[in-house]
Amino acid sequence: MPAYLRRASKRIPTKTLEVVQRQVERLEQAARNGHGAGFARCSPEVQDGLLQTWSQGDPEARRVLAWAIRTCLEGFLGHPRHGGNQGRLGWIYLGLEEGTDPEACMHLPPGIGHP
Amino acid sequence: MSLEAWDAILVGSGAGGGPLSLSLAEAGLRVLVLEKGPRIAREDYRPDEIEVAHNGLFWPTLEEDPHTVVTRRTTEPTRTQLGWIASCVGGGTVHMGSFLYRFLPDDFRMRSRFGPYAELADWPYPYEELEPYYLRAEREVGVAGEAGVSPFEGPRSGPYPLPPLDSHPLAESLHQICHDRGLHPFPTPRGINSRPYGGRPACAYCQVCTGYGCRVGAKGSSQEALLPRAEATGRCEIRAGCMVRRITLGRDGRARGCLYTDPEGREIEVRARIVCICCSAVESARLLLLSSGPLFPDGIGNDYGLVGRHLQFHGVTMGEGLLPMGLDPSLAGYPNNFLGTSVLDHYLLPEGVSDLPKGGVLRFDLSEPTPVGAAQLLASEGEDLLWGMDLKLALRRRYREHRAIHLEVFHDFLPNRHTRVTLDPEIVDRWGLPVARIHLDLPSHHRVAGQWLLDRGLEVLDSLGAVDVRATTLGGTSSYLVHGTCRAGHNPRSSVIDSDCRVHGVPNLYVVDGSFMPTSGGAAPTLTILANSFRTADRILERGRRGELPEPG
Repeated sequence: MPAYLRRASKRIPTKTLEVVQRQVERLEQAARNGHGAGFARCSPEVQDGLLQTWSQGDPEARRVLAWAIRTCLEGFLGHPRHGGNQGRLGWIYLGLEEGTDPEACMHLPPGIGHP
Repeated sequence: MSLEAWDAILVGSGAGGGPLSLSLAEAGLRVLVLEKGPRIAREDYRPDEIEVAHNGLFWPTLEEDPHTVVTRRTTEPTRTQLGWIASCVGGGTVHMGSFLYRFLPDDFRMRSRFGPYAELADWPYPYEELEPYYLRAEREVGVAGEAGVSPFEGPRSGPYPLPPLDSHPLAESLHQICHDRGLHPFPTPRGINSRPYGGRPACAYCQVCTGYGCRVGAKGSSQEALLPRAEATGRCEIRAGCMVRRITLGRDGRARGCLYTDPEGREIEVRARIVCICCSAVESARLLLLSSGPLFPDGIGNDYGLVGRHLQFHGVTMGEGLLPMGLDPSLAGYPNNFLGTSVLDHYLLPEGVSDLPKGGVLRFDLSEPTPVGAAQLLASEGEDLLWGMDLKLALRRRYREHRAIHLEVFHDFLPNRHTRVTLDPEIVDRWGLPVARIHLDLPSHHRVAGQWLLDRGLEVLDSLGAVDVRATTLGGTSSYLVHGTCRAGHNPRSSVIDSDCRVHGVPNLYVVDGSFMPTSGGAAPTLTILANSFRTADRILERGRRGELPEPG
């Protein structure tokens, strides 16, 4: 996932990236002020609460959260060649490796799909 | 220095340029196809949502080559990919879903049939004129379907060349439910080989189709079904990565050729007996507007300010439901998501639904397994964003416990005075040329008709046992079904091109793509664009036989 996020952040316009950085700092500060630790060190339950509080009532924070969710989903469920979805774990999680493989047409046995 | 000379120059290689290239080259003309985008190899098509959505596989980036859009509410133009069909050899036919419906006869006579509503107009020719070319297009690209099942289809002079694609076992239940509701389901005509055809393989049922290139070559795209055959004549050359900057004119007002920038950045002028602009409704209008000069100060064909007017997309309404895995054992893991079922019964709306009693087509299929897009929709469609455990549970529910069924409604986008294309006065593309600015307005009919048609489709999903049935798009705008902008007609004061797609006043310049369509039709338009291109090729060749094509200027 980090590899994908690093790649994805490169395609963000500079102005948007500044907004993301500003809002992430706000979130980080809220974690330190409220829980004495950075966001990454908080428990998942606390993290969810922090995200909820941070994104409510601030349209800019909500937009950043929406972007973060979209981007994480790309990393989790996108094609592994972009750096995320290592070992196709995202596809396996959804059951897509068990009969509805998105790459099925790449693994056809000889003779199927060909004249 | 003498300029390179051809019989015909085609600008664009998709649904407009493909049929022309084949017909003209087979008839003996020397044809040059200039395509702005790259040529992508069959083996480079992947089921890769990120590559398609973000990495510009089919569309130019917003930084390098955007369109801009303004609406009644927006004061600043926004960069957008709206109206980009594709920029690659084969154009939008490469990634099309290949739902190759014919229009119905009423689509050709909207003004006569429904009266003076919005800016409706009749086509300059009737359905019967295009019918032989529909049949030819179906045979050239290979359409799998079954004629005569729907009592609402227009007259046909021959069957489909291929039987319908295999469908998921659930299609049988779906058909029965439709029959029980008094509807007349029929196999969705698809430009996908159900059997090996045209030297290309049959469908591999890989489940990734709409929005993607076909890795086995079963989809009847211009790239697969038409352009290679044109090249095989030895008389057609396709130059990819070539951006046509303007159409050049002779002193006599005829088209002389065009000026383009090649991949190395060189500006090259070529000339031809005829020039055909086939780069999609938005880009074709833009090229005419970019080609202004002393003879046409406001752009070629734009004496009456009509180039870019009557831009239409397609009305898009979509819905979805979730079928519990326990409903049918075939839902889990059956390697085919085609239900391949369409319904034409609501092509006309009942009285009182909308001011305009024009409906559309319902199409049912199991959803393609595009997990990124589906998950992003799940995360954002509610009032509150979903993430963490809530999103994980929603994803498991959709993929592990259910299989999603998809409803798509194709319906008319009404031509209106506000929706059009102009040149953007500020933003330029990477070649330094003004980009197309889209002025967009959506008549209320789109939502009203879309809602009624959606409700009929969702009723079917409900009867099938689907849960969580809901709209995902209502009265939306199809980004890559684009028409109008160079309306065809008999009167130069109310149309840009004539019934043979020639620009009024420039007898050897043609516009051959969705631009010609006076109205959008109630079904997906690609087959109509292909058929009209075959028809235009015949008209050009007839003129050639009469000695009416000029020598290169």
